[in-house]
Amino acid sequence: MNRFRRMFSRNKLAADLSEEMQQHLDEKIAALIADGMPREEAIHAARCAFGNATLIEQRSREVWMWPLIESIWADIRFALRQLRKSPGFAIIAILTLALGIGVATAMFAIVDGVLLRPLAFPHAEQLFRPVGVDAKGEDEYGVDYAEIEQWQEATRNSAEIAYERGDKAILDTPSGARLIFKDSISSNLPATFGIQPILGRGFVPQQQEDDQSHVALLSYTAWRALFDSNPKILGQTVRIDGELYNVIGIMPQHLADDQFEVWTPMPRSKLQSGLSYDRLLSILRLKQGVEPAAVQAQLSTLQKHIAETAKPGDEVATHVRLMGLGDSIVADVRPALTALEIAVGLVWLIACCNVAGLLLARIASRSVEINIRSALGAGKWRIVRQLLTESLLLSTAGALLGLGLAAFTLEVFRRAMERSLPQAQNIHLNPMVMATLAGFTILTSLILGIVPAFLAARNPIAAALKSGGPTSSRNRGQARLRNTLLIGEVALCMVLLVGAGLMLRTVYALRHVPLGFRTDHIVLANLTVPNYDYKGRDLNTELWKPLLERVRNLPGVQLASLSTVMPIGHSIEMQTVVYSPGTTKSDVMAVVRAASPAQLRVLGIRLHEGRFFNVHDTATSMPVVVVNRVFVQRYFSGKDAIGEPIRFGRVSTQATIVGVVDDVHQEKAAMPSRPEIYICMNQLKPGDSLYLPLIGRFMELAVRTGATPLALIPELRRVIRRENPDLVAGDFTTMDQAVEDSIGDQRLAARVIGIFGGLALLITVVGLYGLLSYSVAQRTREIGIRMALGANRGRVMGMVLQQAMTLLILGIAAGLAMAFWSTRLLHSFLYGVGKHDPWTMTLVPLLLLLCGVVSALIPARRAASIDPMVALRAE
Amino acid sequence: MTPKSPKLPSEPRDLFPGALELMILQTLQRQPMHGYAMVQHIQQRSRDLLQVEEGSLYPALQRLLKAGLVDAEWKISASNRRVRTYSITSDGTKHLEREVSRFEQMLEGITLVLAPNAS
Repeated sequence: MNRFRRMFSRNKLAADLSEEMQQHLDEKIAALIADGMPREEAIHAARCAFGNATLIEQRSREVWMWPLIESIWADIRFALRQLRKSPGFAIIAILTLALGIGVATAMFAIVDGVLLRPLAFPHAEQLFRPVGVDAKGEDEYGVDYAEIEQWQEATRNSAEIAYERGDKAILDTPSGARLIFKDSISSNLPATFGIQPILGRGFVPQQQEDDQSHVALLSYTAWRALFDSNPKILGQTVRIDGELYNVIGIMPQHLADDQFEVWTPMPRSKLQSGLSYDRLLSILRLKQGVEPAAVQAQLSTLQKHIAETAKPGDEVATHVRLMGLGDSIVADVRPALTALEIAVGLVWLIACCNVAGLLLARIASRSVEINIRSALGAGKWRIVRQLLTESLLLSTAGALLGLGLAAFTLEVFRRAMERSLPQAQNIHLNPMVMATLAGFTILTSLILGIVPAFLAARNPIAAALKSGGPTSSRNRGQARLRNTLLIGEVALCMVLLVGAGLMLRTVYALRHVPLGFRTDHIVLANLTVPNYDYKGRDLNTELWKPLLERVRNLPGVQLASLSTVMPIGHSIEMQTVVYSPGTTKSDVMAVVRAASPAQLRVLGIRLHEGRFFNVHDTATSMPVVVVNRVFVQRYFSGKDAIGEPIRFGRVSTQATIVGVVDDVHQEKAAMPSRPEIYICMNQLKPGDSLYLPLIGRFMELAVRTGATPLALIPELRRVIRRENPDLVAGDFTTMDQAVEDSIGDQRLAARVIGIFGGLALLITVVGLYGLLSYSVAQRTREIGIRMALGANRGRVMGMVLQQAMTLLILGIAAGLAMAFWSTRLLHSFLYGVGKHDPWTMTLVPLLLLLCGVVSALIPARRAASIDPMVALRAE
Repeated sequence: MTPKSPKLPSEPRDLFPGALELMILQTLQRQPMHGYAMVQHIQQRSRDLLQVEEGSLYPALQRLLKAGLVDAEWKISASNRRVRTYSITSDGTKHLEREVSRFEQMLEGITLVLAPNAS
């Protein structure tokens, strides 16, 4: 018979061998009988002479096998059979592991996508953002071109500095006008980052010198979305803000700062005009071998000199700090991600503890089987390998399920962070993440498999085979280990729940902060002016007034007003410096906005003193402003401000205060109100220094309606388009929604930690239930004896509950200690509630205790319903 | 002939690995036979100096089968039993010659070293 065929016809092989060996024995026996031996003796002698038949059969078979693979496969089949026999255990273990591993993988994918990938620039460690700061190193100041030019000069040999300024702009696309982000950059910016255009070419320095060279680079996303990835776009022109630009290149995909659609060279003439809002963002790349500290010192020395020679009233930094590029990109998000990582780590640990406890219990109940294996000749390693196989199977199943869970989690996360974190779109399940998943799985299975396995395998055989009673020291050791595991779980669960509790209170507090204005029944819209349409014309008379009229005439509209920005969640903000003739404070920075007369009534802001704007305030009447109470406090130290003149602005403007309004929260519920100046829209003329920034580019519309706000939006869109189809209107929303969105971060954090806390609680409670059930089952005999000796059902229940309570209280105490220490990580998220909030620290333990006791009731009742007769008889 | 460790000094020596296979091949070289007959033959020929645990033959036979040095067939024996008869192949013959000469070389070498007062 062919060798290969022989290898694969196992069964025939085995049958042949058996028959052969039987024939041998028969022949031997016959020979011995023929020699005169009695039959019984002959059989015995033949068998002795033959040797260990089973072992020989095994060895013969092994010749044809790959022994290692065979035995591993046997282990796997055995493990599967065992798992199928106890489906409850398998399901709980797999689900728990799926939660732990899935969540851990999702977290790693998030960290990878948000923190690690965006720094995919070559030699990213050489990239820094220079930030102008004050002496304390806290307040940040923008820098202008004059300063950057000097920086470049000073660091000519040690670093390369580039600069940029982002702005909104209007791009004409085949499907209509579109609001985009445009970055005006120095010609060396892409090279400093280390990016090359994937099509076409980048900028050259001459293009900055020449005002007329209108060239542009498109982003990959814009190219794909707006121009269908058509390579013919190169060399064609697009219209941006009314001017024609030549597209000379396409930038690569997946840039860190993925918000820009277009890059254009910054004309030098603009840089040197020195207007007030000319702040630039700079990027610095160290030359090879240069230390960041050296360059930082160099720049700081230079900056000090610059600050000394600056004009009074100029906002100039006195020091320069080099911030790592990665830090600057994710500075806001890092604390959140760290907190999330820790939360996830906790959930994974809890899941592992749980499954470890389950496995321990199983092994304890299989100790007899293990010891028989030992007696049959299995080495310690062989036994451990079989147990490891089982835990590896569980972990793999859990990991596969967890993969699905992770994918789902990532989708939810991407959706939730769409606005606040554009890098979130980079998060995918890529090979790196899969490798981490595999790593976690193996780690988990090792942890779960090895410890209990070694515990089980080192038992003295004889003692264990007799009767593994609950009082033997080995079982006590295991019980102690299980208890410790459970206490650990409870403690970790506490930490998560405390975090969740604090976040929930924060969200509640944020929702109930009095904002200073009404949020109900208001529709908001963002408007961008195509100012090339209105060059030389007066926007007030030609656009804003007629637009307001049309909107007011819509059915359902009670009031409508326009303002440069509305409170909460807006994207731009104007600040101006206010000069101080002979008052206590100098150089107050105030938020400045233009508004139409109806503003107070639309938003429900209360007027504190004086009056707001009215029809009599026109371009030719006395310039008036309205301020808020914080402004009066800061600037006039609370004295009467009505009728006082003030001067403000880079180009000094004078006006009289005619009214004081109540404070509103300009940016977020969590941030206090800042000094504020309102300027009357109708008083601004083209040519005024504040005309363009306040009403010439962007405007926000607020409409108070009696009906459902959302229903008004389509009508609004139509009316605005009819007024001027080139007016880009976007971000239609209600004020209620805008306020909700502004606490979106905390809401998300609360939701996520809440979910984790809930998961942890579920796993822990199931773990407690499992441990108690097992303990009751082990102690059946003891309980039977107790009851026979006179304990009533109540006492038995009490005994079980007491066991539960001990574990819970120990765990809660440990957990409280850990929570005390760890809530500092949530510090930056909390609002309106202290790190060690007594309410949370009391209610959460009570909740945990309650859940624990409830889960202990079932085993307790089972213990109480043990029939002593049955318990004592069975064993 | 299962390998055991450690050995008490008074027990008989183990055969070196491959010895059993050599003897089987030599036996089959004379004529094809089945397992029991092989055992009888080896014990007879060695004048009972070798104690072969009968069962240990079978793994060795499987190894020889796998290496293609013998062939096996079910036949009816002289005593009217269905027995599996093994016969040596040409590969087996070559292997046998080679191994026997190597063994004799080794034996000669050891004998020379162990010879008393060799000058």
